[in-house]
This record gives sequence, C-alpha cells and structure tokens, in this order.
Amino acid sequence: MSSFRPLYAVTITDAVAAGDLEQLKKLEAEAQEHLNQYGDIATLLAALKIEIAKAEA
Amino acid sequence: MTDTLPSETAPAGARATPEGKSVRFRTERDYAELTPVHVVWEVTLACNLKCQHCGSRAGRPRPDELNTAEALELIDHLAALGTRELTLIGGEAYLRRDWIELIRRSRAHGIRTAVQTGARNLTDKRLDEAADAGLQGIGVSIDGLPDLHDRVRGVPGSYDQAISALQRAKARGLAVSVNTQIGAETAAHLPELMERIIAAGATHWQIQLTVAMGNAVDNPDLLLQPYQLLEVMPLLARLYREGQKRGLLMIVGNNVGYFGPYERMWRGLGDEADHWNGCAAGQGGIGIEADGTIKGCPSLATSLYAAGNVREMSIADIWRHSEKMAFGRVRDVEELYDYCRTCYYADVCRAGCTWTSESLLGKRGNNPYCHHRVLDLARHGWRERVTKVKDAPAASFAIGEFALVREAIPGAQTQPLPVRDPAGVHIAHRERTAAGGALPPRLKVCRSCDQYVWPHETECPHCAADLAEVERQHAQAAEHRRALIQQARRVLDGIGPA
Repeated sequence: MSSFRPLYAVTITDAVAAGDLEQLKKLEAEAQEHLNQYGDIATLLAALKIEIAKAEA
Repeated sequence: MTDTLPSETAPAGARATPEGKSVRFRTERDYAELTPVHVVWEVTLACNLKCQHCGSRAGRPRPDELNTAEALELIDHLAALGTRELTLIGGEAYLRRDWIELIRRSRAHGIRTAVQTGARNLTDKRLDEAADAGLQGIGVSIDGLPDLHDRVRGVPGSYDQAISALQRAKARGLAVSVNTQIGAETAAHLPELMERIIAAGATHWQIQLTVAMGNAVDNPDLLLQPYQLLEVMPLLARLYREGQKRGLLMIVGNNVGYFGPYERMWRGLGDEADHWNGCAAGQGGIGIEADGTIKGCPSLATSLYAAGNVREMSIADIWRHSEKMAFGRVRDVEELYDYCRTCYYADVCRAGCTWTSESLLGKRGNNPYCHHRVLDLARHGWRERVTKVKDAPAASFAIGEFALVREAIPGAQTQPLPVRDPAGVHIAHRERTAAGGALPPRLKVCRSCDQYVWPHETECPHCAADLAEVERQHAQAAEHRRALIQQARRVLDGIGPA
C-alpha cells in the first residue's frame, strides 16, 4: 500500500517513522535520559555491594 | 504527530487509517473501491512569485475560476467520494478572497486540510484567519539557500519570507513542512538547508525533482540531469537518516525513485510493505484546476489529461467514468518502452511518475529519472542526459519535448547493456473490483542486499542470495530486536519518566 505524494501538494505531515529501528532509537534515547538524570543504578548497586562486603569483612 | 480520523468524529462514510499512518495512506479498501483519498486543488492561478520552474505558469488568475458557491459545493462532493485530505494550492491559494471559507467547509467535513505556499505576503492576519478556520498544516516551498531560492522564485527576499512563514505557522500550532525541488544546482544547498528548516520548526520535508513543464522548459538549465542521481541519491539517504535523528522526516515525492538501494528505507517511512507501486493518478487522488477542470493528478498536462469539468458533469462521474481519469487503472507494461519496458520492476513501477516522464519525453512509459536505472547504466559505463528540442506553449501545464541522450561516462569502460526479453518481464495478476480498483503487487525484500524482489523469487536477482535462508536469519534477528524492545519498554515504564 502506499500514499499519493504529488509534487504540487503539501507533503504528508501526519505520519511518523515506523519500524523496529525507530523504536530502538526512541528507547535508546529514553534510556540515556534516565541515565543522565538518575545515574547508572547497576554500577551504583555493584559499588554499594562491594562497600558493604568490605565493611562486613 | 498522528491525525487519523477517529470514528466518533469522522463523517459518515469516512474511513480510519491504521494507527501511525497518514490519513493519506491508502488502505486495501481504498484501492479496491477507488477512493480519491487526497485531492490537490489549485484554487486560483493568481500568484505573487515568478518561479522559473513553475509548471502552471501561475501569475494571473484564470479568467473563469470557480465562484464561491461552486467551490463549496465541490468540497461537499469530494467529501461524499471519501476524500480524506485536501491540499489547497495556487498560484497562491490565499490570493483567492474566499480561501478561508473553503478551509472551513473542508474541515466541517472532517477532511484534513493544508495549504502549500510560496509564502510571500503570508501575513499574520492571513495565518490567524486560516488557523481559526481549522487549517491543519502549511507546506512552504523552499528550493535552496537564499541566493538560489530567490533567483529561482524570481523575487528577492522570498527566502526570508518563507522561513518567517514556517516560524509563524509553527507558533500557531500548524503542522509545518517544506517542499524542496531538486534541480541542477540544489544538491550542494541541501545539508545547510536542512539545518535551517529544522531551526524554523519544520517536521516533514518533501523532496522532489524539478520537472520539465511550463516555465521549467523555458529554463532547462534548472533541470537535474538523470545521471546526477548517482550523487544526489546517496546525499538524500544521508540526510534522511540525519533528519530522522533530529525530528525531521524526509518524504520522498512521487518522482524520486525507484527501487534503488534506498527504497526500503524511505518510501514507507520504516514500513517496508509500503513501496513504490506505480503512478497513483486517477486512482488515489485528484487534481483540480481553478476553473473546475479535473485531472488524475494536479501536475499532469492539461492538454492530455483534462478529464472533465465540474461545471459540465459531476466530479463523481468524471472520477468513475472518464477515460482520461482512468488511464492508470487500465494501463499495462505494453505501453512502456526503452529501458523501462524490460526492467525487472516494469509491472510494479510502470515507469514511475507519469508527469515527470511524459512532460520530458512527450510520451509516458520511459523514465530516466530512476535510481535503479541510473545505477544499472553506470555499472556498464553509461549515463543519460536530457536536452531540449522543443519549447512548451505559453499555456498553463504545457509541455515541450526533450531528447534523451545515452552516452559513455567520461573515462569509463563501457559494456553493452544485457539484452532482456520483453516477454520475460514478470506480470503481476491484478484482480479488478466492480469499482475498477485493484490491489497493487506487493514485493518482498531480499535480506541480503535490501532490494525488493518479486514474491515468487527463490534466489535474489540482484545479489544471488538464497532468499529463504537470509529471510530465516532476518526473522531471528527481528525476533531478538522485538524481545529487546519489550524488555526495554518494561524496564523504562517501571521506573517512570525521567
């Protein structure tokens, strides 16, 4: 299926890009935003465990 | 932004399009029932620019343009035919006094309504009135950076007015887009132009090639040579990808194609099932001239494709019964010639944009502005260029004639093109409905080279891959991607918005 894109007309403005790649890019941006705002929880958790282990040693 | 027609607000008979798809997207039902989904209406030929490539030679209004009552009635009839999108053009649409009434009537029918403009003297007052009437989108034509744009458009300062219009329309909440014609000089301007239109607020950018019609025939140096696609298409592909990252979606127009290495990427905006399937004139859309002349596409030559006039017969009858409207519904590969006749894609492509090829060569069915063709020729050391042999008459939408010259690429070793048997071209069976519509062929993608192939193929004709095997590998990778998307979605939804 397709859309009519004649050359004297206004272009399509009510469509968004689709597909896995587009979704992956959006999710990457969202994840990066979380990381920027809240930091790397996984690394933080590992550091906390190490310090706890050291403190308990 | 998505703006499908929700069923609770759509007029009786209107149809929703799939989520995320434009209202202009043609569904299987649209194909079967021959719905004129998108109508482009030159509401006046009056214009305040002097574009050197203007196909309609706009300037003065036509002597007998439809009056307000006729125009409003025509909108009612289009709504009854199932039209979901209306583009008002000119000349310059807002030079028509009642343009706001036309917008209001169109919106009252739930038709998505936008204006394509050169934007000279598109004042705040005009924008406010249009937005108040329900106008949803504005497309501004910008053909390069200021020097080139102002020269091509024939009015100093028109570039600045165009950019200003984008910004002011954006501030009023309109969907804001740009159309750019690519001529011989345009390519070098595109990267910087993209920066500027993003800054001005554009979200969609239609790219199209300048066509040899009307004023462009008088100024043939403006035309891109077919072989220049070798450089232009990779540039466009790069800008498509860059634009996507930055919120600007490039829309390739109907005369940018066909089936080269980028078709899968850009035609369907990520939906690879949506590929070029031939000229849609008289099948998915209608073009209207200001005096009520109806054509299957706004750009087609009036002398060849005027299918009737709404002052003499109903648009429904013109749409359904006029032979000049129906040419695209009944044509087949037999009308193709030269390279296009034996092309691998002949029966799905049908030589691309009718307007482009017929305006150029005086006969539809052979289109040198084709990336697939240009690449094939180049592999054999050949290229094509066009040279004017006949002027166009002074009339609106008039065509001249150009000769197509095939020559060796300077410095290249040439080989003869393979001889292909016309009888060997794959013909797709099309089941016609009672309305005369038919579903187009649907190609599949070779997962090795990313090019489209006919569904019956087992070995890719382009790269010789085992299509089933590469499809299996692709399916595995796709499943992995889907799983990752779901996992990421769960994680990100669980921790809430950043």
